[in-house]
Amino acid sequence: MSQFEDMMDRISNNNEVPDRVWKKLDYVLDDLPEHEESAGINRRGHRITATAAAVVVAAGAALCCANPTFAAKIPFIGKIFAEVENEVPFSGNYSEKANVLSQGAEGDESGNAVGSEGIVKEDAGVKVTASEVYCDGLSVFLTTEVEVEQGGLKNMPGHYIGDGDATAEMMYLRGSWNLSDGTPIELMNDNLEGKVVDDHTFVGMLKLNLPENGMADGKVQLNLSSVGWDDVTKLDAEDISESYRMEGQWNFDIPFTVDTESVKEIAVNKEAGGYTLEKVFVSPYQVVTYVNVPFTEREITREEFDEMMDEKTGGEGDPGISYEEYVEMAGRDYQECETVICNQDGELLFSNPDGYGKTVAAVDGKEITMLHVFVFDNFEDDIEIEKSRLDDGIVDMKKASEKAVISTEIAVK
Amino acid sequence: MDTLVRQARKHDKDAFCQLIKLHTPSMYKVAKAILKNDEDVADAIQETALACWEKIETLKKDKYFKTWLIRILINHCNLIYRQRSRMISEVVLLEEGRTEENYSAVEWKEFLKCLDEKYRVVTVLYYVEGFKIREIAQILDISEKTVSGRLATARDRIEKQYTREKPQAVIYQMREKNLQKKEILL
Repeated sequence: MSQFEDMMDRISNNNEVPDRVWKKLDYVLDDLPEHEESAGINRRGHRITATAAAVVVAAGAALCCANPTFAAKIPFIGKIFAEVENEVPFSGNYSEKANVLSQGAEGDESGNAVGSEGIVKEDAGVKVTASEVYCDGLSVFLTTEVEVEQGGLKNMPGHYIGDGDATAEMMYLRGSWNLSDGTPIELMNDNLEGKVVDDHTFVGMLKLNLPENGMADGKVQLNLSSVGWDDVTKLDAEDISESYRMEGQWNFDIPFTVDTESVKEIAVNKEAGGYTLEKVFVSPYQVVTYVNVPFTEREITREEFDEMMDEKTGGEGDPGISYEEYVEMAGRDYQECETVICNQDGELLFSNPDGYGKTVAAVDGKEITMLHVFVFDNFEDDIEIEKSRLDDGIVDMKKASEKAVISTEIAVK
Repeated sequence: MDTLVRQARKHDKDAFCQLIKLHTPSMYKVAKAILKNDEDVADAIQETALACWEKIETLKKDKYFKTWLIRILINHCNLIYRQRSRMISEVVLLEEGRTEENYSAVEWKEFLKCLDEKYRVVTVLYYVEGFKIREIAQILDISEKTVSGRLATARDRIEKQYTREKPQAVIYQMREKNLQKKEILL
């Protein structure tokens, strides 16, 4: 056993906790407040939440019209892609292909003229303007400007966007989206990535991954329920990952057309070790691989399911999930699957998993005539291969082939 | 464990206390990786317990309790770290070792000396607590690839300080052991 594993094993097996830690913990556990009391407690510091946002709205009902920040000419609408497209994870040339959105015939409550650029929605002291849209057949890329009346954006930190030290600023979006007549999908890791313009203004790009079979022109219904961001000078430990969150309602209907010439689907169907690399999609901005990952099933009886749901709902109401759906979600233990994707020159495409067996990689301007795809059944081999890159970022593909469960070349052009 | 979480979500204090105490060794290890000093670790755990009690309704699913708990803990640790802007010197660690004279102080000292905070945290979360990379990415709000990269770097740095004796096959056994431990707890 190496020294590293030795060390980790010792720390792992050691469950000693010093007495002083237990004493402090017992002190607080012995005196937990009654829950109805604790609901309104502000123990330390204040963060701006929906309550504060509501105060802002109530105090400034006419702000959106009179406030110079909102009334000022917005310079970025129609040009946000040009501003951020090289500084976000899925960088590329969108600005020459994107459609600029414009206000519909009915106009809107903020007085924007029919046909003016951008679709504007305002609530809770926040103005969100959807600016441009582009669809490569795999994702809808939407640029947005966010104006915060109260300000506070200037201390927004950068977040890592790749495997190096590159960062982009980010706003957290909550809510849901769906294609017309489609099932709403919760916004999870779909954040607005871009840059802070000034203390009141942020511009960024949102990437919404389309369902696998969604390659038709359509409309995205985007319903935002909160917009949040971090502040490096304020870390509110009670709130997970957002120093500020403005809650409200900003609903958009975003029409898009699919750039059908942009995306290519390539069937692979290569199987080994229980894994199957089924297919690959390639666009100028991303490469998406689909691997069928082996799993073991854990039996969940209907009685267990019913008992769990009764606990959850108190025996009343719809739990919101069927037995079959629950079994599919919780009844499978998938094996590990890590996919490494390189171009013909061995340059690594930075990627992230997106569900079991699906990996989405950023092209980031690299030329692709051939793809080398390596599927690993453990992350250590995956990391070892990524670390095998030379100073110029070229992967040791011979080593990758030897370690991968599946190793294949795919001609793209 | 799920039963305790369900009861705690219904504001059962006894269940909540039991739940927190069951997770205290894990919280201690994670907080120690960030703060080093036991006094600060105790403060962070205390604040975390209270915050979790107050926010228990915001927990979305029972099975994510530990992930949620650790995330709140790490936020508290970061707050304390920034507020106090304190680096524990080797002198302080040596003094602790002399006072306590126990093995765990020595092994922590070794671990804390080898790595910076950002590597220690991911290492403890993955190798000691058995979180998956996806979970660690959610806890720390960083990408999964960043997590993987930091784990590899951490291992590399520690191993460079010692002679590598055997191949890495044992890493699978250790992870398996952690998973077995988790299943026992659950």
